[in-house]
Amino acid sequence: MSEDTFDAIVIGAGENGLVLGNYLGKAGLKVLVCERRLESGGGLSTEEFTILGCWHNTGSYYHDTVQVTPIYQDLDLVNANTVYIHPPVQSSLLKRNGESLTLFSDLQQTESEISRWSKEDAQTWRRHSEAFHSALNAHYQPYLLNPAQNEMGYEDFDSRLESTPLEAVQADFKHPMTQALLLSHFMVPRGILSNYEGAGRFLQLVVGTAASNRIVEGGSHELAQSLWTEQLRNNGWVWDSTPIKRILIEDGQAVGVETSTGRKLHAKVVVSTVDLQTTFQTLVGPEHTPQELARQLQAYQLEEFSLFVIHAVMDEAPQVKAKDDHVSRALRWTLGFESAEDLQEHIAQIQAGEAPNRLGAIVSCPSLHDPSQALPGKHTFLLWQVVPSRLRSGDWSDVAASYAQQILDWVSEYIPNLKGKNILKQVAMSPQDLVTKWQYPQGTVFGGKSAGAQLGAARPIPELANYRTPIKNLYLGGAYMHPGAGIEGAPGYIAAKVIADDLGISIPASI
Amino acid sequence: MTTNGDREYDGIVIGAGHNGMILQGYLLKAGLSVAVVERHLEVGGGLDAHENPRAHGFWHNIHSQNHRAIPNLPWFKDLNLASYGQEYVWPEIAVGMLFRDKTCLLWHNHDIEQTCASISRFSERDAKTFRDFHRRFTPVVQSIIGPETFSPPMQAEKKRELLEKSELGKLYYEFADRSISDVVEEVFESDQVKAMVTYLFLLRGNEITEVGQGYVVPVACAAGISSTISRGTSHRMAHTLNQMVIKNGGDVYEGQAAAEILIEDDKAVGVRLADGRILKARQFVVSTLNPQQTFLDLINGDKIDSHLKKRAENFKYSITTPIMTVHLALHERPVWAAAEYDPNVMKAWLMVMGVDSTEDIRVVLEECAAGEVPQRLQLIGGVPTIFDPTQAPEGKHVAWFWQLAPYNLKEGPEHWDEVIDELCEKEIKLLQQYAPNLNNKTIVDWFGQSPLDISRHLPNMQNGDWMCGELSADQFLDKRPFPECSQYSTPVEGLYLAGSCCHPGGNITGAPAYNAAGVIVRDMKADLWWKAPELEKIWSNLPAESLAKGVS
Repeated sequence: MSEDTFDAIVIGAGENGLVLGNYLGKAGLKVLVCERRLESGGGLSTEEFTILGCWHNTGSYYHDTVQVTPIYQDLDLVNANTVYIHPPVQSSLLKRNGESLTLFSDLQQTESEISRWSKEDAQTWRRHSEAFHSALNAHYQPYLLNPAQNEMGYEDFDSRLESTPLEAVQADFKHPMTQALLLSHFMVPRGILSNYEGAGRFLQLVVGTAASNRIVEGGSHELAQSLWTEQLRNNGWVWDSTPIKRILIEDGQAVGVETSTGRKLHAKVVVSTVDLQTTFQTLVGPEHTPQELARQLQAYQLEEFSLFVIHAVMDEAPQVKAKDDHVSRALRWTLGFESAEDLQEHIAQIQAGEAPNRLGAIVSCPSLHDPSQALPGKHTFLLWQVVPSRLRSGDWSDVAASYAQQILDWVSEYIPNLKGKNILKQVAMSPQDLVTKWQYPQGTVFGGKSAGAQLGAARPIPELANYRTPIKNLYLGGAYMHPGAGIEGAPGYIAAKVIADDLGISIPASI
Repeated sequence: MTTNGDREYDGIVIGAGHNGMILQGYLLKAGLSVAVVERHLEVGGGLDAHENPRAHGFWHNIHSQNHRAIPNLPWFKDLNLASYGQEYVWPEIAVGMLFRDKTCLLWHNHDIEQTCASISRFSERDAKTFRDFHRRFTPVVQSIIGPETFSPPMQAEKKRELLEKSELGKLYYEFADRSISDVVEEVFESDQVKAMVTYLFLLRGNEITEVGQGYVVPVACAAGISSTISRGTSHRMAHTLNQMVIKNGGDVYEGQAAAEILIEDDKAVGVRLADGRILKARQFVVSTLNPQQTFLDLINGDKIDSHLKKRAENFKYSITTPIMTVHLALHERPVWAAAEYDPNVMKAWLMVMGVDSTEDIRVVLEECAAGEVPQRLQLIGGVPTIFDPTQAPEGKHVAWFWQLAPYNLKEGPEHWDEVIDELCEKEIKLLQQYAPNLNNKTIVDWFGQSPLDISRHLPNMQNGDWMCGELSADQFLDKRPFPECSQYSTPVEGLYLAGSCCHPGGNITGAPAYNAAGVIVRDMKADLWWKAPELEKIWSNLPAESLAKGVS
């Protein structure tokens, strides 16, 4: 086979593209994954951009579905250098008055903690948690790791197909803090706002994964590094700094791609993991995009919200103002949401295209849990403020600097030493920066609105729901595909299965 | 790479810069099992680029910028690096000297006639000399310089004995026995050409007053600058090499500093990592670090003889190579005022400003020697995005400019942290004289890097010396880094050197690695699967009568 011919070409070396490439490579296909940026990994990005020796996870950080997706075992990633850290104090919702609700990796501890505030909620939490784990193999995994369906065939899921997260949470949990904590977990990392129709179906999944947060030792980029290392070892190639200009289509079939420098690469199968608009308007082109597909794409909705990110290096560890000592050791702090109403107010501002005038943030000190990410004695700090992806009036770049300062002022109410000389350096990234950095569509990061008809069997749109496209041999594997809800690597995994089926080959997919 | 416990290989390479990985590639393909250990989380050494945290999507090379003829180099082809999607761009015009009077001198990348035409606007005689050197020295490049670069250096007396038997060799020594400065002064008449040749080779790491390097002048006229730009930034090349190593079955331990080279019974037997793990080497350990790091830091003092320690201690670093950099993220590319004089200047890659004559160079070197923060400002740099748009968001640009600057400021190197920003602001003002369209509206962001920053990021480049060792007469060719190690082996059995402290020195040449690979593979009796130049054979067979005389 010549150097310009492959069995499969994948556009985009984010997690999905690399996962997909690995599975097909292990089945013996010669796979090329092309990445526009210099650094592969997409959101699996860790950068040393404050001071030397301090590393910041600029994209993905918490991985809470490590035990849901089989990619770690199937692809032998642990041996290739992906070590996960699972801190025992997982997620704290912290109030202004210092009270908190915390989840622990130990279910017993979580139950005791919740029962301080509501015995009923504690019991419900245990029930959902245990049910999720019992149902994982038989129900959740087949649903999440196969092409889109509506029903799971499992009561706890199917009974909530029409519910919003707010409805589902409030039906089962009574205490404001439990409600707020759960709804914040829906928001990040599931990418779901409290009022998204039908997303209440994920209630049990959110409970089941809320204390499963793991971080990659050395930073999220190490996972990308492992993935492309394994890809190379398995007959594959990953070319970064290789933007794709278009997908080559002959007689209605995808036959390869053309790079931005005009190099033509041929393949039997082409997969796009980049966003839908770019895939069809730029790479495929309107002339090859059927009318019905184009019409559905017009109507396709991205989620309204994104993250305003602040990274900082601190001279001393953040000191949280909390009544309970264990809160200072939590991997994740949710600040600014004390009840479901708080979230609703925040969401209303977001959906009106306004930068929220209140704190609503997920915060962490990565180096507390993985010292390798900072210089000895220094600490890295990460904050995600939930914001609209686009402002109704004006651009994010006009307000980013002042908004960043405002957020830090709000946060210093909870973390009093997050100010002044203790902040050695900081970097802010608005949703607009996410566009210039990663070409994320309109600055969104969660892969398309997980609501209504864009959930289930028709995700993302009916014409594209089963990973194939109207163009023969062109497949899709991006985050916008089923199952949505931020299940790591799942779209890439499912795309690999669909392609393997079509090609009649066998991949080592264990589920 | 994280493995539990100790591992064993045929050999270990310390440092995953370009030399470390190229060497590893050759050794892997020779059938040896090899691991490389690298302190940083990212491999590449000087092949490094960072995304601007204040201007996302803008990527800045923070060390190596200009690569010479990479796709033509033997290791690029031997290791099949193009198959990793590595592409290089060849700018049409390698260098644009911009003078204060808004004229300019252009050195074309491929076209000698165009270069001569540009020179002749300043001096017809210099154009003729240039063309003449091009003709006469092309065979010198092919038969002497090229093979010498990609071979372990021959012992100086033997080299002279062999070469002086031929016309070509005699021609070579006519210039080699002098310094660059002297040759330039003698053969060229115009300030502009003298400045160009002197400055470019100063920035290439040559010591312009050292006898022994004068051949560089006519050789440059023959070989040209051969500038190439790595598409996707210089760091893309680090990825390419990393992938090549993985593909060939090698292991890469990134984020794992070497803490000790283990010596038992006077033999190198492995490497202890900073986290305590041991990587055992059945046959060899290669260091691509500098001699002080290798012999003084990494080897237990009891295990190394005092003579070798002394050699390492005395290894000197250049005071003329350290640089400061000003990096820019731009809304639009610089429009050179000299475009009116010659519109082709807009196609040039390496722009030089503030160097109108060798006098400017002399003053700058004096300031460096005195430990002064530069007062006489001059810049060399470029806008990679003119040639490779991938390095910035669509329609935008990045630029870099170097100023020669001392590491050892008289106030101490730490003083750089106090003065770098102010110096950058002055350099930007200088830049604006040559490209008036650069201003607050067109500059998105800028930041500086000092010689101190270089040595902090890459400790191998002691004192900010990216050449990793002064190219003085006593640290050149068969004496580099010192005579006992000039053939890439060391007095310690199984311990080799293959970094920029070895022949031929720093820059992205891959030659130290290529040369060390041959030595190691032969010593290991492994498969010498590639064809390296046979220096003695080539030099023994040069014709006594010159091809170089040619037809007048």
